[in-house]
Amino acid sequence: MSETKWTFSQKFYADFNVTASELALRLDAMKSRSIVSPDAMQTIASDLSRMTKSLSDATGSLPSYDQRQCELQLKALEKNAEDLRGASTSTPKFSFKRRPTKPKVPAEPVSTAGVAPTHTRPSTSISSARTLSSFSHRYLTIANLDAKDSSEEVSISDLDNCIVNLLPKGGDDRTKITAFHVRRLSKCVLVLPHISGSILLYDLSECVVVTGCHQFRMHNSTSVDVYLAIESNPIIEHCSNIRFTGYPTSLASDVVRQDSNHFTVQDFSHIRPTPSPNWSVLSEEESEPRWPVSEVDDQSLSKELQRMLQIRRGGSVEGTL
Amino acid sequence: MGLLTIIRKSRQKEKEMRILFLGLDNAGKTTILKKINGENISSISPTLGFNIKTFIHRKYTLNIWDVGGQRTLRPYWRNYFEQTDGIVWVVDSGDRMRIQDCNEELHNLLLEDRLSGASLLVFANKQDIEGSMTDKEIRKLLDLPGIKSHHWKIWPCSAVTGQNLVAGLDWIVEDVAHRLYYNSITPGQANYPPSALAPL
Repeated sequence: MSETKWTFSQKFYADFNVTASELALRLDAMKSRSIVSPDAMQTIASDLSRMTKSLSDATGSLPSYDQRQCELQLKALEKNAEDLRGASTSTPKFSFKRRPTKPKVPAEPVSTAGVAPTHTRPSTSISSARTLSSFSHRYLTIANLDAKDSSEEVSISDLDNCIVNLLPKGGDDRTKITAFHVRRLSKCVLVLPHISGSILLYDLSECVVVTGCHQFRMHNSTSVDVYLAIESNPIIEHCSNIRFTGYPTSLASDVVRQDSNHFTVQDFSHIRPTPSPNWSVLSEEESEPRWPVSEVDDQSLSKELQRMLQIRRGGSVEGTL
Repeated sequence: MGLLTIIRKSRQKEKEMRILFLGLDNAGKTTILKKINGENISSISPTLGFNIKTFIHRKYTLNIWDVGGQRTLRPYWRNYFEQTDGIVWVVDSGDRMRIQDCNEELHNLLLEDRLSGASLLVFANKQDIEGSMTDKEIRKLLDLPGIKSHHWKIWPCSAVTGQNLVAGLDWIVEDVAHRLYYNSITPGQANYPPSALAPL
């Protein structure tokens, strides 16, 4: 990179950061006072667009990392401004309009008030996926799966301290499930069958996940051990302290066990030639626990959970030594 | 051979189109492309970056850009907008949870100046999966009838079985051709229903 380019990019980056943090301060101030004047919003919007323009003008003269950082910063600011604008526009709506809803409130029983918000947006969307949601300290199996319709996609969300075992029971060894969507799990052990589709995981913490799938995507998660059978490359995004190893042989006979060395995990938040600090391979010796595949009562559940999660924690301590 | 013929012939040779494949992650963009090309689809990894495919379809050379849909990659989509003739928006019809997300990303995309005029094909992918949303549902959930700025059409399809992939591609190629190469269109190609041009 030439001298002039270098000094330009240095200066640009510094200036950009100053402007960005100044803007962030202004946004914060507005948020804390919770008064948003349209004029101030206008100024912010024009400042933002000026920054966007200067950044796009500088494209090519900046190192790509700096460029990306600037873009991310801008994106965050835009989002903040957008939120603020949303908040400000909803306030007048609240006070002026909504006439027709007012008489409804006393007319209908209180219970509808609780139901209404969940029905506002995704009513059509969530209703027909098979779900397993909002459990705590439970051992959950296929029987707990709300199976009233034939959807082949399963959504698992909002669980803590649970063991979930969705391996097919007895005779039917092939599962019909083609995709798993998993959200917000903490301190859970998730034992899933091998499926032909994808698995998507969001917001897991301190979990153990066993699964086989066509594609694997994990987002915003920390401290998870993954026992995986897969032909493509699993990916992680915004994750940390994730460990990967092969699908346990003891759980499925028809799944070809893969050597854990074959894993090439792609970390989308670390697109660089250096190895990602966010994941590692779980070595074979420490990766063969006794799986909690038979149903247990509540007392032994916590013991089982503790045992499983202990393996995870113990392993990670060893890993850092 | 008159001048007009010569001009037409030279244009004939360079009938190129640039088509952008976009959509949320796990929609099946790469799988659709590979299936159309007759490649193996069993071990496709989530796309880190992008793929380019060039092939000839109905006398046109298609340059297809397939950009990864992972959240970290979406800000980079705009690097690919320039000179785009057609957008193929791929939807995972089984993913009810993120259909709202999908709606927002699509409508944000359509605000982009550099994409104005581009034809929009929506692929409601994964129709082979039981219980997935129909194209009618998706049409409503993505608020497609509200799109006035682009020619659009939705096709139910399956990248696994190959259902409707070619039919969808035919539509977008003809729609783009109709716009770009209006004069050189052969009668056989121009006979698609007017309803496809001006969706209600």
